[in-house]
Amino acid sequence: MEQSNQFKITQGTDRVILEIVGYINEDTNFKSLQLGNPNRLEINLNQVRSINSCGIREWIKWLSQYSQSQILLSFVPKIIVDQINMVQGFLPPNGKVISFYVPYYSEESGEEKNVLLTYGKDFDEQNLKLPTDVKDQNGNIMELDVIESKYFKFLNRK
Amino acid sequence: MDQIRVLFIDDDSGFLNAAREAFSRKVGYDVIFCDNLDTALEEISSGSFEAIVIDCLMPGKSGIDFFKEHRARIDLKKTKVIFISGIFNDSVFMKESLASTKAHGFLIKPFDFEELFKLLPQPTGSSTNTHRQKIFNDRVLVYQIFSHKSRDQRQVRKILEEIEFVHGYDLPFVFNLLVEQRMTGFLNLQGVDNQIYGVTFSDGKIIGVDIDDKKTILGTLLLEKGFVLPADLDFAATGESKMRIGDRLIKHHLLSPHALDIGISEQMSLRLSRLIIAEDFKFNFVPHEIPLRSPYIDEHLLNLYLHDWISSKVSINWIRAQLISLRCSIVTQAECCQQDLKKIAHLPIVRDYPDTIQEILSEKYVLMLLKSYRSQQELLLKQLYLLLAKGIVYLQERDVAEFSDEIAVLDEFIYALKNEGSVVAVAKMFMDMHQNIAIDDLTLLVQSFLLPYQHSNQLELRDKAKQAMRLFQQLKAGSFDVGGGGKSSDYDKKKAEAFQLFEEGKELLNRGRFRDALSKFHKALSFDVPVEKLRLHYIWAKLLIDCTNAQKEALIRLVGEEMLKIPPEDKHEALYYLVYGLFQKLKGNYDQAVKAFEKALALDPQFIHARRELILIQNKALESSGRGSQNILEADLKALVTQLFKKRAK
Repeated sequence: MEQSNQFKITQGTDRVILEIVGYINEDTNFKSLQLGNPNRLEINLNQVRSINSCGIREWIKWLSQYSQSQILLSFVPKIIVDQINMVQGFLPPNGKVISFYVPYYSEESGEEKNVLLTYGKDFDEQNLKLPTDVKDQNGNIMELDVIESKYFKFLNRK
Repeated sequence: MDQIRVLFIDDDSGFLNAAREAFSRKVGYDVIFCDNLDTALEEISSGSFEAIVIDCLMPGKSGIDFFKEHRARIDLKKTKVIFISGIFNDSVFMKESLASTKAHGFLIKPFDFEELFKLLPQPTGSSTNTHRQKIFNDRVLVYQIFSHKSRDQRQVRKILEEIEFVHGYDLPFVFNLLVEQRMTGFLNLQGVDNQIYGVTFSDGKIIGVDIDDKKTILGTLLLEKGFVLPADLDFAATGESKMRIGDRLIKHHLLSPHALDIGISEQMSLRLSRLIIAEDFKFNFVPHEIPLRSPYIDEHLLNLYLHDWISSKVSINWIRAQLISLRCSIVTQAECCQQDLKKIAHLPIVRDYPDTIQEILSEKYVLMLLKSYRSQQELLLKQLYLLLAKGIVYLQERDVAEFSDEIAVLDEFIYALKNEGSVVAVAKMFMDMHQNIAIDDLTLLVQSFLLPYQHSNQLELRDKAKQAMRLFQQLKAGSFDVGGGGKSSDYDKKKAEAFQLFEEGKELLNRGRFRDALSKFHKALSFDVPVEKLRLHYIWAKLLIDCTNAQKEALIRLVGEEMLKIPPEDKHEALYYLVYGLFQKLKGNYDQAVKAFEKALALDPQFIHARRELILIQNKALESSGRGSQNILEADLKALVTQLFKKRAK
């Protein structure tokens, strides 16, 4: 049995911040969440470790309840970016990614690193500024470890 | 969709062939290839082009000088000019040439044709075509998955990340790759209907299959295996417990945990099989540590399923389409070829036909292989597809096609046009079509396939291309007449027709008109579209037709081959066990036959045909023991009635 996930909720004045820790799968009990009807719902995905097909279905079903809220996804890891790019409706029309990770890789050392890009600073609806000076522990320049045309596709979605 | 007209000028015939090959895979370009400047000038004078690609070193004159001389005829606002050269590769020279001519680009030979396509104007008016091109490119990547000699898990993930779309018929490649590389994680898929599916892997074993499947009922599978009785299932189904049915059966000591594992494993295999369909999937793989748990599908079991899917589910026309679109690739042995071949040596299509397997391993061009085995093409295609999916061989692309290959391509196309009888089937074969594509789109694509040949300087190629186009147009006209509308999907129409024939066949079968029924089923099968239980009925009708002893051996062989083509989903029907039982009876294996008829009755106690067969065998056994049939109720009613009528007739 997969380890179940945890939710951490922070109530702000104009927004609710929900942090999901662990896995999004058939055991993720979104129904247990009591979030009310927030104007803004920020979902911090920094600690999400995996997602499977059941989790994708649960996620879409759950988020459809918040069609009147603005949904902001932060600290989005690669595994979730992949789902946003693949699954129609994973990022709902009222949703927006405000920060996400980009994987880098060093051929020399085999080191992998995730670099966080933030809305307004590194990207917006028109622009994407990728860091070019990402280095591994030995000072070697690291390469972007994703297919650009595929990975950043979600940024062009209207 | 408007096509982009391109004039491609180069005197190097090898490079011109490579360009021809590259453009033939690209949709939306109408390209004229010239190997001399005189012809090029004629073309420029007689028509307008959106792009001109010209080699710098042409006989007698440089391409740059030629362009400068005739610049007045070329509107640079409307025409992109790109220089190519293998000799003039000095960066200063390149810059000066571009500055003095205002040309749009300069590429050093040899170059990746994708670089050239980036410089050319993009075909507009059809995002479907871009999508289709993406699908095609992804498919090539799938077929080359196993060409990477050393693969670690990271490399496998990277290979999979490059692919966005995978066809359901190509999923065996992906499953096998993940199993072979002992990957752990979730394979998430999205179908064209936006449904989400998932396959869970742990250390290279499939431990879970998540699809919306209301047909594969665990209870039925347990019943079929003889692990439970109908009454046990009824008992377990009652009550309000939230426990799963298997756990409830175990709790009440009606089922062993081992038997439940077998049932769940069978259910997983059927669910996997339901993904092997004629549709594209988007997918991604999420690596994640998942502990191995029972039951699971390991490499050995997966090999059996790969064999079954390729034998029974993957359309033969579809395999042909994929392989013909990669016709100039060489079938190359992978590093562990012989070792991996041993792992599948027991599978019927490998074991029973070693000669064609050896032929496949002899490193030939795909097209040459198909051509030399035209009479056994179905077998060869399935074997080749299995070996590709297993990574025993892979397709190594060649940039320059042999000239004779191009003649052979057209020969195959003409052969198919003459024999397939359906324009869409043929177009799909050669143009790698999406299943539900409209006929207008097909026409454009077939034109783009034939155009390079039609404009060839070689007489034989040009004549054959024109002949092929004439045949295509004739057939297309026929398709329109039948369909009553140019936009109708041939695939859907075929499916409807096959289904109608199937229904008519069943009706005839019920009325005892076995030969007529067989003919209907045979025709329905010829459409090469999936219709549930069609193959089962076809075999049933075949077995019902009386055969003399002289034909018996041939019938056994033929039915044996047909049994391999039954899709796994159909093998859990009462009818399957009836057909299997009849086959065993034909072979003289009465014990096996009885078991099969009993299974059929366990699945459907009202199944009169299975009951009848069982009684027939019992009576035969009684007769041979000298006791004969004691009870009229146990006798074969059909035989009695037939006898009665025969007596009356006399």
